[in-house]
Amino acid sequence: MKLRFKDARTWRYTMNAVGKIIDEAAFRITSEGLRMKAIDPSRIVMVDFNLSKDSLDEFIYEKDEIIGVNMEDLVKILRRALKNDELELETIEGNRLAVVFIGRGRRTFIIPSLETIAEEVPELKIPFKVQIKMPPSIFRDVVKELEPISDAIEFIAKKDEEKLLARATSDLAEAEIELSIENGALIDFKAEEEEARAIYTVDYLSDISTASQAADELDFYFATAVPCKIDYTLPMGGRLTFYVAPRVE
Amino acid sequence: MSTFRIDPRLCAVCRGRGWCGLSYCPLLAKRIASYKLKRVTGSRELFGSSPPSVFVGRYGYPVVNIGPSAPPVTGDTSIYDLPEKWIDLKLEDILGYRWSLITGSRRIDVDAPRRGDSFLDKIYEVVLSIKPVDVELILEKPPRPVISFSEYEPPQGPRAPLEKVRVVANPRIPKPIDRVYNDFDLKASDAIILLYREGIPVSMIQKILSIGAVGYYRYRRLVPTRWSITAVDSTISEYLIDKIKNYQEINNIMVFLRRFYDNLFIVVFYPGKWSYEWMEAWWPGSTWNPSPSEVVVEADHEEYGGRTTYPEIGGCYYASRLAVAEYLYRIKRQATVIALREIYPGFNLPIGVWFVRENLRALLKSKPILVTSDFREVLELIDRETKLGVKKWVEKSYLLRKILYYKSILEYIGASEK
Repeated sequence: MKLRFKDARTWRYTMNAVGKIIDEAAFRITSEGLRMKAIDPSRIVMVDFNLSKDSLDEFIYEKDEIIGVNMEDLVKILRRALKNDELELETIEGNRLAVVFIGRGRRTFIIPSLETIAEEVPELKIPFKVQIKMPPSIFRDVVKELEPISDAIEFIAKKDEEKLLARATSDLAEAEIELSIENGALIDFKAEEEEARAIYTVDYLSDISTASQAADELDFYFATAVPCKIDYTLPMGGRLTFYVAPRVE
Repeated sequence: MSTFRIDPRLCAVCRGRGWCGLSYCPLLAKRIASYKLKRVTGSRELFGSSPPSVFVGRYGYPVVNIGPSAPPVTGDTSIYDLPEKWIDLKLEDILGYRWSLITGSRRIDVDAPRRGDSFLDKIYEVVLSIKPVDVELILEKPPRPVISFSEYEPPQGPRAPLEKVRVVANPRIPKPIDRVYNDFDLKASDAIILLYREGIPVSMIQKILSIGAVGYYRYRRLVPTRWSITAVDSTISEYLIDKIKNYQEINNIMVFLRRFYDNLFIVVFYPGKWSYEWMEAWWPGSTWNPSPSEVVVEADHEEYGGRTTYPEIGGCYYASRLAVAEYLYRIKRQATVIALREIYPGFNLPIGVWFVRENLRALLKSKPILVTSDFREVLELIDRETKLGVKKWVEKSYLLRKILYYKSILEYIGASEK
């Protein structure tokens, strides 16, 4: 297998976020492209990273493959990605993976592919009632601002007022951020539920929001007391999706 | 300063029966030590067998106090400085041992191990030995045999500046210790693991690390006793946790409980990937709570990925984590672990983190008092057995809250909606 991706920094930022959630990743190569699904050790978050072959500049497929990677190693290498670098990934003999930056020169890093028992990660079925589109940077800012207040964020979507409230409460302080299309924070707002409410752990949201730098768009889905889906659209059409289970009191 | 005084008239009628409410008798403990110390009164010379024992101070770092300790007794004195064996003893006896250790110390630079120092060489002779070593300490002035008894300071025997030390008997240095001492290309952390795997007691490894006898040669240095204890607990438990993460998760919830001298320990193993939490509740009048009325609760935790910062709760976090990791390593399973401790007013001794490590080790050698799949039973047990009550413990505990309130993403897989 060999693939080339236009912007190496997209990988740098997305894998940085993924690496905070999971230790090892199994990338599956099929004729459709590359996909990686995993669940974090505490089973609260699911990650789904999907680069279809259309989002790739070059894709040479020979057979179905699974590449197991230690995320710490991968993130360390990807940190070398510079502006205007292209990224090439190639499986090479001896069960190894070559990570190549093509920009100023051609820089090759080779890491071993781990023997991973590729667990079949199941599909989720969640009855979302709210779908909100916003710039990824807004999402990151919301998490950053509420993080010092509490260890959880409550999201409330009000259908009639077409707005999303993000709240954090602790013994010491309370904070609320109001987001709407009107005040310029949201791009699109759809709700089927009058008032949807759910609480998510700020630690995970914070890790996930670091991928914002890589993404063009973000879709946020949720409903009362169900997991939320944070869906990043990457340049060239790839997707990075996180599902976070809610906290119920 | 002490704020806690016992009415002497009470002692006169109680005679060690614990009426003052403390978990040991201060009079008896003092008596045991001063009896042993009688022989050295007024003398600048001390002849005794070092268990072996050494103390490295932390004040003035990087120039610190270091010196061997010995009681004025010869023979097998190993029990004087071997916390692994203390858990079966009475508190009075432990205090007696600690108070009768005389330390002769000298100030030297922490870099001394790689520069070479004849004084330090003698300390190596003593400390690297597995058996007590006879030493002769010539002190600059006689140690004062009076033991200061304070509720706030760690129990410590007399100390005096050291003029000269003479190692009289031949030390017996075990092979693995000799090997790591002479291997100048072995990292200190690898040396610690090697010694641990060879069955050298943790308290011994801590002494070896503190005198700078392990590690890459150019990085060898003295490590204050207090720091080296935590460094060893942390390094070994990290090594074990790394192994544990490859094991299967436990199937059922297990709860262990132990009461010991006004201390209560409860450890909950919950099916899941490795994560750990340590909590302590100090009652007013116990060692680390000077407040007259309020119970102080502290907690710290790590998730699967471990910690990057030092836990606020201190070294006992790592001491307890070591005991728990040893247990999981032994049963070849991983789990989410919540360990808690309640300390009641009678326990006012700053006794050292070994107390936590050895109590948890003893606790985890016992049988679980509850094996269940129903977490509610665990909450009921915590509520029944603790004085703080389950509500407050849950409020303080990150992992208990996580188990109680956080849903798993696996509850939402498509197939389960049949």
